[in-house]
Amino acid sequence: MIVAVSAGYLGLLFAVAYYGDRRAAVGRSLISNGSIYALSLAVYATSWTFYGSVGRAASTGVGFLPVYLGPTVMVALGWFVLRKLIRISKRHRITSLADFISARYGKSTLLGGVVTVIAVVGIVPYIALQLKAVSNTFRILRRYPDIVSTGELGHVPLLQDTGFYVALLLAAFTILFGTRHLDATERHEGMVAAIAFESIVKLVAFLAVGAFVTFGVFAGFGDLFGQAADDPDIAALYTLTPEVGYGGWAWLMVLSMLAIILLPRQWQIAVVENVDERHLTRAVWLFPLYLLAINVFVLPIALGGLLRFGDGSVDTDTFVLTLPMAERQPALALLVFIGGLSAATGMVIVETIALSTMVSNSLVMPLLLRSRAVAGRANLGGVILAIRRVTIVAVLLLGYGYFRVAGEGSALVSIGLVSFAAVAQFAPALLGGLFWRGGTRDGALAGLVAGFTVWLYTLLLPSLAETGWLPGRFVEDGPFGIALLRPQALFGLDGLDPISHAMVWSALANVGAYVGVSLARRVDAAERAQAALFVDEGADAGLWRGSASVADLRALLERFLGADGARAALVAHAQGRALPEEADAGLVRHVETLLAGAVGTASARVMVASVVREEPLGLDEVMEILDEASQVRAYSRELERKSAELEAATAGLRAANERLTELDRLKDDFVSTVTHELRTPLTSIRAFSEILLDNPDLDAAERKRYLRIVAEETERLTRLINQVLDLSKLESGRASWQIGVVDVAGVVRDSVAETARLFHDAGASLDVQLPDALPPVAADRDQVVQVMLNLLSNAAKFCPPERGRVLVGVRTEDSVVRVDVTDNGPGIAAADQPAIFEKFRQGGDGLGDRPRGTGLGLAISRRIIDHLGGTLWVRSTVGQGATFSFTLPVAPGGEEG
Amino acid sequence: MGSRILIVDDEPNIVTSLEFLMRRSGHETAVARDGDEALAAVASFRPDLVLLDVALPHRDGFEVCQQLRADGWDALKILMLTAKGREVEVAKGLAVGADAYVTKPFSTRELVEAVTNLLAADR
Amino acid sequence: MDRPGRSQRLVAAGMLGFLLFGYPLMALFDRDTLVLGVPLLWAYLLVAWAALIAVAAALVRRSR
Repeated sequence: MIVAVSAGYLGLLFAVAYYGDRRAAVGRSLISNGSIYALSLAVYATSWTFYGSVGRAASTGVGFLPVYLGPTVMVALGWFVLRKLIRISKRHRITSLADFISARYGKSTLLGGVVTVIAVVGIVPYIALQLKAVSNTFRILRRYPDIVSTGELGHVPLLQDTGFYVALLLAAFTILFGTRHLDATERHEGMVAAIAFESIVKLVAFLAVGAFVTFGVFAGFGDLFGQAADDPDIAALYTLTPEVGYGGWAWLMVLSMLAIILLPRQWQIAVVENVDERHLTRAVWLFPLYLLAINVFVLPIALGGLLRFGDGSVDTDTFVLTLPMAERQPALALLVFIGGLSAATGMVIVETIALSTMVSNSLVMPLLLRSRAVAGRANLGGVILAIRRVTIVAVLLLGYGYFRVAGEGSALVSIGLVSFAAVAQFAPALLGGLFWRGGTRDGALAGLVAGFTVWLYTLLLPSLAETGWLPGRFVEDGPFGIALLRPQALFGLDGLDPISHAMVWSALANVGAYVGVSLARRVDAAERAQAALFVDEGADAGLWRGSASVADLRALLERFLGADGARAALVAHAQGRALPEEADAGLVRHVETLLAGAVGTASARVMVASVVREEPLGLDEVMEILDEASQVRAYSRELERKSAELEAATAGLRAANERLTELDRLKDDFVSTVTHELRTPLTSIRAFSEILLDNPDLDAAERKRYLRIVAEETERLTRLINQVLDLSKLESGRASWQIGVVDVAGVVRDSVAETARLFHDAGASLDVQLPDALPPVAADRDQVVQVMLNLLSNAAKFCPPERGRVLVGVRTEDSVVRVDVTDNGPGIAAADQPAIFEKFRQGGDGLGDRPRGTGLGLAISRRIIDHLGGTLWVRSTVGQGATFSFTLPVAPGGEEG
Repeated sequence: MGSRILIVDDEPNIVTSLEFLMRRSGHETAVARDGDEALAAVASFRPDLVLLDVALPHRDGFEVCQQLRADGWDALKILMLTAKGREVEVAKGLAVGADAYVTKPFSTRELVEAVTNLLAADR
Repeated sequence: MDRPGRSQRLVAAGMLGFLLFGYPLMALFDRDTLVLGVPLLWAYLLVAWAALIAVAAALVRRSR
């Protein structure tokens, strides 16, 4: 009956896996889901979890927990480590732990082989453990309603041992779903689906029995713990007994933290089978949650079992099964058995796939490829698959063999921990490889060998001694009686449980050798490049030189991927362009990566190398290339900087040049204008002088007229010269200013008096409005007078003849005194207003009559007013006269009302 | 000999002196004060010679000279007067078709002589 | 999904885990007493575990 159910369950597994594979083939992947990923990680919980935890809890209370707390902490702590592992593995098509380590350290085949051997040796006992659990629980269940301890089970002949058949069945399952075809990514979607399914079954079964025990057999947690508390022996379990100790607790956590990544099955699920790195984030909390859930009832079940079977007649490991049996719950017991079966089969399946990949890629293929017979074969894909299948069967048989031979005595838990310790030896090489560029191949090799040796000596041998294969004295007294070399108390370090003890020494040996040897030896070029690829997750530098023909590469690919696969791969790389004759570095790398998925990076490299004529780069050349590259970069940066500076300088020069040219032009203009202005009156003076000289018979009126012209022009000339000089002095700052207290009213009166004649001649009237009191201003009196004269004469000049009216107004505003001179002349257009204050510009260019004047008056006035701290401006509209105004600041202390 | 002289200058005093000089020489005179007036005056007065100042409002003397030649007044004698006496100006004047170029301030004797010579010569 | 902040916070959570399940803190609860009918140490460990998981879940959610 049990057999029927088991067979049914396994059939169900097959179905799930098949369905998963079908969905993957169609493209609607079943497992591309963060939750599925997290659930599949729960393959970590094997029959050890299912049965062994309870056993351990029965003797150490909560001492079983670190094994699950560790992974919880690790997925948070090492989340980014996992992510890095996934990324690098995907990029380089690394499909196993051994391949990863081998690839990191220069694609070393030796290293890959060593890792594989360690993995196999370390995991076989663990597999044996699973098979033992299945076998034992099967036999116990069969004896229902009798309850026996495992010790009473007695020996069972091979052919009647369910374990054996289970092993065979598992081999078939694994071959079917793990090695159907050669996939470059080594993903097995069906298998992962089955594993996730099994995780659910495990959890359900365990929760069921847990609930049953707690609430069915007892009346809840309180009742259960209360009853247990009454028994002092059992109550002792409530605290961490000296047996576990905090040291042991801590080491257990560390071990399981490493194991969650380094166990081949964990690596396979977490890294290789990972579909999307984003699934990691779900796993960070969902996976620990699963662990929590499956562990909640462990202590209750253990206590319940102790209470129920307090006499030691039943193996504590089997409480999970025997409790429901004792309570006459056959259905539940069957469920529990199936749960245990799930746990065991899940572990075995994934572990053997992982191991078979490692063995085929890192152990067997490199050896085979050395023999010409194999290297030349056309269809290597089949060879590889065959190797894997053989490996699977071999590993399972080895596991079963170990179980039969050596596994009968030990508790489940300790075997499991021994395996943990074995894979923990990979940690320095792996973590060092990820984060330390200085880790070398030799260092990793040394570390692995040293750690493994210590492990062998301190853990494996004693366990063999336990089962009688080695003399027990060996453990007690040390080899040849040397106490210091006792396997479980090396160099006198006793007081630790065997696992912790082994961890201390193996860690010391491993890390010490790794670091020591890495630092002691030189790194070769290829390794350094590989190191950079891993630590920096960098893209490949162009450190490859060689030549290969595309045809050769295609032939190589065809041997593994078939003709269609090879062509598809090459075309995909070419991305629409035509395939060249000669392959470039990128194509070669691509091909190598593709092959790595199938045969491991080391073998892939060997195969590609056989096809390609590579020119090996010596360290010098690599350094040269790297140097050159960095030099070129530095050089071009320098160049950029210089040219930027040059541009800036040129721009500056150009601007300066423009300014100078402009100034030059202005100067030229000024000089030529002044010359012109000077010569004009001179012309009249000379002409009339000569006329007067040459024509003595001119009548008196004409003579008078001409003489007057001479006089006027002379005056004009003088004025101009003076103004030019003034302006020049003002502009160059050489003018002498005599700032004193000035009475503006007085200035206005004086200038009005001086220009009176001008106004009279022009026929214009002049009105002056002065306020009664004016604050004195601080200014140079003569200059202010000059400004007034200028404004007044302008006003007079521009007045319409005979109708001119000029108004002068003075007032105080804020802290200035303001003077306005208004005329009723033609006005000044807005566009011209700024111009009139410039040198030699005069209002009136648009008129026929060029008014007398030098054109400098306003320019000088403005400069004077500016210098005195005031403003000079004009307000005017064409046809309505103009008002010139200026302000002068009031003298400090001179403010009046 | 009584030719007709057109005086083009915007400075009144200079115009007066030129008028005197020309009349003294027996010529008929007309006056224009800017470029446009000058062109109109040439058309209406039909002078034999133009005393053309360069510094005129709106259009300068060079433009007027150019325009006159372009308009076809080939037989017209043009004598340019200016305060700017650099070589480049002289060359420019001659290039646009002036027959002579006198810088201010000028010698009255020289000016009268130049006018006489120009009137006597053929173009 | 490169958010350096997220990695750092997760590492911090991991460190918290070390603390929670390490000697100093655990020794506090390592007493032979019952609280609400269940052993103190056992209860503490489970509660702390659940809390750590919740923290981790919150960290990855928020940074999304």
